[in-house]
Amino acid sequence: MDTILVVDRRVLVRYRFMAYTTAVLLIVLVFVAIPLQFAAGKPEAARVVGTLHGYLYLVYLGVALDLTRKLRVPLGWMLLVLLAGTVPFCAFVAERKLTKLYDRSVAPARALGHVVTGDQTGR
Amino acid sequence: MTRQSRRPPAGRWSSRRALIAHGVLAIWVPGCVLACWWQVTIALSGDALGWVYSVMWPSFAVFGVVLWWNIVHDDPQTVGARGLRRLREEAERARPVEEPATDDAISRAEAEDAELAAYNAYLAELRRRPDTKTWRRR
Repeated sequence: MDTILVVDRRVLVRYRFMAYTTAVLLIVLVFVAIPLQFAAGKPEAARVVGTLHGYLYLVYLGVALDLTRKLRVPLGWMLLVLLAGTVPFCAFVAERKLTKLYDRSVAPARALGHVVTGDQTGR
Repeated sequence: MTRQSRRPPAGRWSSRRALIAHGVLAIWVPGCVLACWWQVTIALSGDALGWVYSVMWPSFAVFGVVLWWNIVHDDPQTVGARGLRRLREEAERARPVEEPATDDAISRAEAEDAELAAYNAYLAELRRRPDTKTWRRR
């Protein structure tokens, strides 16, 4: 039996959801809330959005680690994907790249009738 | 399946990859602990945001441990770009090479023209080779 990459689409979908959520929150934080704090002297928005982004980034780390490991992304790229959640706009780029990688590697394998085994990591 | 029966790598805890992971972890976890302590002192001095980060940093430390554990226990041959390439090659070998349909006109033309026959053999060889460079999306 041939073994090919099969990664559950839900793994991709929840990563994409978290990537968009953290990316939008980070943009709001950096370009709205922090200017409000320092230019207008209103720190409340930065406090709320910063806290929210902080906790959601932890969730992002979890789902991103799951997806990148199952897609067998090389370690260096994996770290960049994890860091992308802390740099404005970078999470969008990472999301596009991983989605393309998923479509390129998983869908053709499925079309060829291969068994996909993303969960097996060769332990 | 062949992949599951593969023996784990011999130097799991002492390979170059694992040693680098140990080193990074040995810096990362104490770093997170220090950062946590720093945030606790900030929180105690009155900034409530410090409590958020004093939860965050231990979480980063735990995340580092999870990543380290995975790095040490993964067989590098089955993860990353190398693993994907190896899986593709295995699949390519497992798939039977389809023989091109014998067409009388083609074989007649090849019998007459040795150069054409050689060129067709070359094309067949290219088709058989996996991972040949192509502009087409796979």
